[in-house]
Amino acid sequence: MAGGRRGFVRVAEEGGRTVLTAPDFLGNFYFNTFGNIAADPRAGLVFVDFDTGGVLLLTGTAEVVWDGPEVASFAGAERLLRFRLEEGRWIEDAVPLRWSAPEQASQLAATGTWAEAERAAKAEASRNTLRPFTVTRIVDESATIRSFVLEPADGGSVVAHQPGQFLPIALDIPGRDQPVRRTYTLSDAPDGHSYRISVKREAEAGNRPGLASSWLHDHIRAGDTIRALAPRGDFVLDTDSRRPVLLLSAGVGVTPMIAMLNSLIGRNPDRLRHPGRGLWFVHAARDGAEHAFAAHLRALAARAPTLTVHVRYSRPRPQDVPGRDHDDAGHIDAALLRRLLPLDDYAAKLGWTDRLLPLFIELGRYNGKLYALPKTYETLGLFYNKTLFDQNGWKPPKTIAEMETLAEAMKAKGLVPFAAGNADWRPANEHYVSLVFNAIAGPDNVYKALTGQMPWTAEPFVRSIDTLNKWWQAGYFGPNYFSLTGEQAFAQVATGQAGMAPTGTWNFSYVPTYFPANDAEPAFAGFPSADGVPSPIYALGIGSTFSIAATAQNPDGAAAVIDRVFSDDFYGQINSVWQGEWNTPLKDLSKVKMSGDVLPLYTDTMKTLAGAVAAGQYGYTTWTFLPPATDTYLVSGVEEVWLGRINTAQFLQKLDETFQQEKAQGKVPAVPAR
Amino acid sequence: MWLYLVPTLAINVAVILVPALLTIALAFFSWDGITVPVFIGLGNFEALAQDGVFWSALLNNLIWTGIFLVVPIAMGLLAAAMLLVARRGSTFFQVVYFLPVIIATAITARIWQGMIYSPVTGVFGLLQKTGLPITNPLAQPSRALFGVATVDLWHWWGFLCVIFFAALRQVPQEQIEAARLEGAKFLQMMRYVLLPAIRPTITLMMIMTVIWSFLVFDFVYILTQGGPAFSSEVLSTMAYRNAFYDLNVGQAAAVALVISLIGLIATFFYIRLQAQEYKE
Repeated sequence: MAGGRRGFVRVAEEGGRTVLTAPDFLGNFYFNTFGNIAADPRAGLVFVDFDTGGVLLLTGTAEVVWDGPEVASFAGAERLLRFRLEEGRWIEDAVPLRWSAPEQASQLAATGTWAEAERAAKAEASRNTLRPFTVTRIVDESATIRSFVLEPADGGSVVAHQPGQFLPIALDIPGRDQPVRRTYTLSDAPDGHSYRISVKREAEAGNRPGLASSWLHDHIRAGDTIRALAPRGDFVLDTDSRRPVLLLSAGVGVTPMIAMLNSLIGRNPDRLRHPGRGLWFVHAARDGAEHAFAAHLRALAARAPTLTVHVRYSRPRPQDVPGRDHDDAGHIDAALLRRLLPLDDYAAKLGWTDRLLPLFIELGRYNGKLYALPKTYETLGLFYNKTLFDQNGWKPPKTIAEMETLAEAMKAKGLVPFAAGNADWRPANEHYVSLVFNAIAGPDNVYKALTGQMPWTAEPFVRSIDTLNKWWQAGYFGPNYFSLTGEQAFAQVATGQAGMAPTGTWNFSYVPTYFPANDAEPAFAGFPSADGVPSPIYALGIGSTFSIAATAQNPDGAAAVIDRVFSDDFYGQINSVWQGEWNTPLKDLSKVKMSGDVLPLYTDTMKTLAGAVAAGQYGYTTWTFLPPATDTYLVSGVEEVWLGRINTAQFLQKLDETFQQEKAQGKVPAVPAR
Repeated sequence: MWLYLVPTLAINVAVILVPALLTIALAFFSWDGITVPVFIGLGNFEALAQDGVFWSALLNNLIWTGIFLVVPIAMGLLAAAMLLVARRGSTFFQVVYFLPVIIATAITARIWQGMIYSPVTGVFGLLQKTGLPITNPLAQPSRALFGVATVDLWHWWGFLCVIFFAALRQVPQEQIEAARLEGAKFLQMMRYVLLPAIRPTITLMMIMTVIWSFLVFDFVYILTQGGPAFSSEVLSTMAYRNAFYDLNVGQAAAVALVISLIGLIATFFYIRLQAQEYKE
């Protein structure tokens, strides 16, 4: 027995016997007393009055009440002890000790008293009696859904409901000998003095319109009285959880969702209970006319940054505008729900929009929402051996013509002009196709082709592939292109066997392995462009991307990881030990601190690259911007051109066919406008 | 008694039957592996028929089958017969011949690619320096398939040799001795005694060779990925490319179905042959 607040022992008469009842609260789970009572119900109670020294001795039988309405109505009680008195004795001055009034243990504040328990029980009982309410307001939410706001006719307050609960009402419809009882979901958050129900006029079922809903729509006017019980229902929102909330509904099923949403966002979206808690509201309706609470939802979405709304219309009317009235057409399906979590909120909250190059944020958008951000981005250019160039008086080429002259000079010296090999990675072929597409056809034409404004068979691309083939036939790629791995080929630049490597920035990771060992100084320059194309163009490729699954249990944690990767500190630390694979799309690299061992060449190149992207001087790599089958055809197809099995026109013809086919299937990645 | 069949049956249904049926079904759909498949009837097969790469891959599989029906079987038979005749050291040679079989194919392929064929790091590079006009076969469209086949041969023939040797040892010693006493030379012994005695084994191996030849994937994929310019592309690498690079799973299933069809024909002949032997 643990005691309780003053008045925790109730004294009552039952069948001529005095019965004492006391609550038992959460304790140490030893159950010593209760164990004894369970074994032998004979019990004695000792009450000491420390004011007078008197002692009351009681004997009788005890029992434990494990459950029931009495336990429930006594706040904090886990069970009750009932004691039936048989005999008692009061002894004056039995105890010499005199104590002052005891201090109440702090945990008892959470427990009740018998007086409170009685009031609670009475209130609970009144929940089950019909109480008259006055209809104070009627609002049409859609063509078929009408809201009724009810306030107690007796002027009292209302029993508070939890969002999601429903209200049982009774309607006195003429011609019915009994009140018609119905339940309607409360469609607003509790406000202490009113209820709102939203009722859909039920379509005719078996040639008869829904009785109660029709009556409400046709006959109930402001000022009328409706009787209702207290709200009830188990389908309620867990307002304490920090996990993301998905409110999913269709048609009139929207009513509890609106109540939950209003309760979450409240009347003040700036003061959310858990500000980081993600909120999704996915709703399906037939069309704009049937879409209830549309304006309310739009207003909330505009005010609450963490709320994402997606509305689908199964049969949109001509006047329903996608993007304004609804997001898209169709039913809600698994694909919609399984989609990735939009990252816009995090991008705004964690400041990614300020930190990252805007182009990459654009690239990660689908239907206007941000879903993916690059972990690393890469570009193509010319690596060369500065030591070798200085010895021969060579300069990095500024035009295609200069590069061809240089390549011939290298060949004359017995060097392979282009260090290149695809033995370990056949798709290395497309690095060279990407280079010529951007440097010779130019990024504007590539953009036109990617967006379908120009076929891949157009003249600029013919010129690009013809040039690339000319280089191949002239032996720029050396005799061992199909035998060398990419790394072996790159190493030949350091050893001086090859002149230059037109390849990707990921090769920076090989620089520390090969250049110092050969006493060679590495250098990197942009690949020269043809006349009429700005030079150099940095073709962009994205190595891998970050997204958060819509079903993630801890999206905030995932966002925190991404946020860390996009920090200056992380960029500096990882690039100090691993160059080329973690070029995160930071806008400004000036604050990044790198280890002293890292070549300034790498840091400078990455800064130049970030600057060029910010200035719009970028191009498109085939592996990031072409759809899959077009890209794989390109890889083998260009070999067929090199090996004389097909000509440029045939290659581009098949490339364009595959591309147009994939474009029609919606497989072409989104390309941000230039 | 039928209960004993349940475990194997369940595994077969789950691991073989269901995927097989799914593959057959997918061959008639257009599917990118993610969205809902769309039925397109014979569209995948029509696209295959119009694709030059499919026919060249099929031809490459046929060439491959031809090579493997002749070269490793001949080498295996010859070496096994020699082992039988020259008993001395036969265990040692068996081990040597069999060794390549137990090396993982990926390792074998990388060794040949880097240490033998490579003009930079391999034996071929060394030979080139001595002036021999020798080039990496994998880099040439006309020879790439043979370059790959050579590696597979090296890895494969020892297996056949050991199988044939085991079969030859079952040939009754009396027959061999009698032939020898009667003055049969080595070739005569092969022609009239040994080969007829192990004919069932040879037939089985030939039929299996046909099936295996159409399944070949690992060496081709590691050594050339079907290149250069599709010159060493076989049906299985084509199916792989279709499925995992082009995200065109339906097309890949159609190619897989063609492979299975050829395997089925070979299996049919094998079963018929077995039934005949059973009757005899």
